Amino acid sequence: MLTYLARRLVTMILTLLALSVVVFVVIQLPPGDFVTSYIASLSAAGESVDQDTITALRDRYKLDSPVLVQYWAWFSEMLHGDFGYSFEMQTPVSEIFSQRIGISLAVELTAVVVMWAVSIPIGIYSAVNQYSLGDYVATVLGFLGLAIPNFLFALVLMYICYNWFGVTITGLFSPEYMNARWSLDRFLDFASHVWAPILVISTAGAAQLVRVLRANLLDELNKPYVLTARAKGLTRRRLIWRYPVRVAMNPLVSTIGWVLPTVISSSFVTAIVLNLPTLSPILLRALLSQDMYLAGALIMFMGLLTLVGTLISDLLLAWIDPRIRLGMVGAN
Amino acid sequence: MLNTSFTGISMAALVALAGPAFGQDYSQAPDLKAAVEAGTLAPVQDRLPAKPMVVTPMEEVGSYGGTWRSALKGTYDTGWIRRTVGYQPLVAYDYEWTEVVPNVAERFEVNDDATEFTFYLREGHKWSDGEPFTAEDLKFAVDVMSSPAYGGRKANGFEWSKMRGEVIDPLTFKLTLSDPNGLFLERMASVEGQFIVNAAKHYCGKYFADVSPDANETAKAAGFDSWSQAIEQSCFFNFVDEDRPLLFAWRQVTPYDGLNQLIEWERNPYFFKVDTEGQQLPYIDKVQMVQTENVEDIVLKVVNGEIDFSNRHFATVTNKPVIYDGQDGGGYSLKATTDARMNHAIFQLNLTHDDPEKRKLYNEKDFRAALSMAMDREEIIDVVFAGQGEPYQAAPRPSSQFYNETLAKQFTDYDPDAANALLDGLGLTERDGDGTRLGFDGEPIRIQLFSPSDQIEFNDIAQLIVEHWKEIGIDLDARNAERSLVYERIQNNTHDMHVWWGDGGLNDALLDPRYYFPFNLESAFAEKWAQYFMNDGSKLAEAPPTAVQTQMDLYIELIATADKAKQKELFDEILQIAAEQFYVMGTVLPADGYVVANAQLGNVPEGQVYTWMYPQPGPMETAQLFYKK
Repeated sequence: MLTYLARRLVTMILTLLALSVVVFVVIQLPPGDFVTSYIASLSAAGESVDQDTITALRDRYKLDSPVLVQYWAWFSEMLHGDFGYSFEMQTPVSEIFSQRIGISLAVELTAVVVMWAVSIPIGIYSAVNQYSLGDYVATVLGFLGLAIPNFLFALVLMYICYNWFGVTITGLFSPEYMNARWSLDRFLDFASHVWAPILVISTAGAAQLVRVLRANLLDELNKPYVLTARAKGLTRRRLIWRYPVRVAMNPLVSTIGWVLPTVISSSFVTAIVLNLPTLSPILLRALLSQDMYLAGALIMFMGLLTLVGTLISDLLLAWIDPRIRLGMVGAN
Repeated sequence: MLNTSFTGISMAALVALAGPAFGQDYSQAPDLKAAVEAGTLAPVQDRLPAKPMVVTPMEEVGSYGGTWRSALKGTYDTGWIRRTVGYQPLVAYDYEWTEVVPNVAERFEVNDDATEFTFYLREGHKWSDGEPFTAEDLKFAVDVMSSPAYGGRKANGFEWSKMRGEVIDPLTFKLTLSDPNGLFLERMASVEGQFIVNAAKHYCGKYFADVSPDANETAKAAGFDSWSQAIEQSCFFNFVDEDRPLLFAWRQVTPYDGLNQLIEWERNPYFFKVDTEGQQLPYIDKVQMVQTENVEDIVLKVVNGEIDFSNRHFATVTNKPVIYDGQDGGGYSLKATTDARMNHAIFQLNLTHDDPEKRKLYNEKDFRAALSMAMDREEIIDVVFAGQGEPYQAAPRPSSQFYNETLAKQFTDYDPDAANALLDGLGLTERDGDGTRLGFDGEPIRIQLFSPSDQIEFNDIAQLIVEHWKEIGIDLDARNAERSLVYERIQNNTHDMHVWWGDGGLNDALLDPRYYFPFNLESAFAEKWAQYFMNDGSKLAEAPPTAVQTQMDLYIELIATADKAKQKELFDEILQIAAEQFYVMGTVLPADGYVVANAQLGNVPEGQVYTWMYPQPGPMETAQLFYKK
């Protein structure tokens, strides 16, 4: 087990290395650089820029040096824990990170928990009670949830809340609590805002999980061992939770790896539509303005999340499924 | 008893007669009064200059209280701050935008050659931290900006090497230019001119080597890359450093750094203006700006009554119906603004194209005239602008003193037959299988246009024009593109055509005549000639033809004149040449815009000019906004 873990960690580091190259190259691909997009955004605001300023900016950010030099500078600094400087916000990337990561994770993780808490019971229910009224309702809602893009759902929700209840649900705090310290009042204000993004983000994911779980469980329920166990007198509830559900969870657990990053990337548009103070709008802004160190660090972070998620899901799989555990030993 | 009350009355009468000239009868906001009584703040007459500036309210004298809420978009939106809270320049535009008046400076003098500008400051004027504001601060700002080592963003439109600041005494500052500049005061009153009163020497000086020798170390210790960056961030145009002293009506409480979502301002107890009854301005207690990520969110805030006074980002023709309908529910009303822009979209063929065949074709005036006549502007107005506006070329607005009818109206009538005839006359009679005309080189005429994808209107207009030009056998390949790509292509001079809106419809035409001749990098119709005019050593620079050269010479002559009548005469000549040359194709003259104002808000201007140069609403003096009880 330990050697397995060690091997996985080495592969992770190598993958991160490869990822850093890809990230850097991809960010360099679009035409122009930070200075071009800076000028463009100033023009959009009605301003214009002198040639002197342009040259000075290029010099300052060393945008004219070769790509390899720029990459090495970025990478070696990163090894020292320095993620560079955001051109756009004129702040160290690590500072931006530390300011936003807490709220991002709070929103995303709550969404994941809600997603699982809602989808697992529903999935089991609709598999066990196949073609019942409840199953049909869950199926219809599930397909709706899958079919409606998150941002559209967010917009519709915004419209409904404004039109019927006269409230704007954008943001995570009311203005009076935006700069306040954490307190009970601030937390309550946060809770009164956060339901909307969580609802939006978790719906699509939950719908998908319900469908997957239902299909897996249906496969299992018809297997002979279920019938045998029933014949031997095991209660229905005990049986289902103990055996078919555990097997049916397998595919779900193995997807944890990409649940983490998809929650961040799928909440992208949602976060912008709903104006959430999370990392997603910052990543989008950074990509649009070609703020390469900031964008690079954020994408690296998402890559890291995927790798960690995959590792966790592999370990969890080994834990819940003896067949996999034994297979690992066999491989060794 | 009788005696005392009699003296009381006569004193009151005397004070009323003398107006606010007597120091002791200045009054202040309740919160400041409490602070003075608690002993934490100096009395109001000690905080105000000896002779405060008296603001005559637009409608009525107001009362203290309330919060002014508005919204910012993204990280670059300092423009709104500089136009509202931040517009307290040394000299300012008057409300009507007819002349430049004293503001922070009590008065100023200009010599006849327009080379020496003397500014007299107010005695006892203080920064928002209570430190004295003197001529040293002005000299400091000029020294930083004109220092060749300063690598930060400099204020636009100034020639730093030709400018020298001099402290005559603490209240007198003289700027000397080596070349005359008749438009210098207008520049100083523009948004960019505010740099001179934005940098407090006692605060920013620690980052400037002339003031403190270890400036670079101080900057690095404070977490900056260099002293240049420290100054760029903490002084001048950024609002990242909330501790920096300012002269504004409100002082900053929280930074605008892209992370913090609410940018707050509180009343500046040292603000130098009073109303006609001697009440220290501003009336409104606080200013709040919420940073948002998208315009729809701002629109939602508007209709929900969460924006008190603004037109930033959301006040488009498209959003008007929604915002108009929301007036009752949101507790606000719409006030008209006069758009100083003269065009919604200006199509600019690249007259200095690197491809000789394209350059030859685009430089045929008849070709451009034909393209212009083939545009069905009425259709554009109906489809894109809800029927509002009139067909218009790139020319000063009808209400401008520079109005030139030929320039404004030539080739705006929709006439595809005449357009076809003009193209035939050029010898472009051959067509390919699709009906597209063949150019002089025998290739089909295909014009590529990348319109910036964040300005949706441009693309809507371009798609209509694609159809219009099909009628005359011209293939317009219009695409949406990320705007940095659009600008990258212009900078490299690889664009066939560019589209942008038309600034320069009123008096701003003098300062930024970008569409009337190749003037700056925004003159995308002739980037190479513009580079030549800017004379900044760019490799792209190329000497222009005679007519353009004449315009450039006239403009240089104009700059050197202090006489307004002479300036107008010279500018009219420039415009006349622009009319003969017909560089660019305009589309629609924008109708009046609007600003959203809380229904309770008093002293709100009606019909104020709206443009970048004249930083609406700044020149109205936003400190006089107040909430009616």
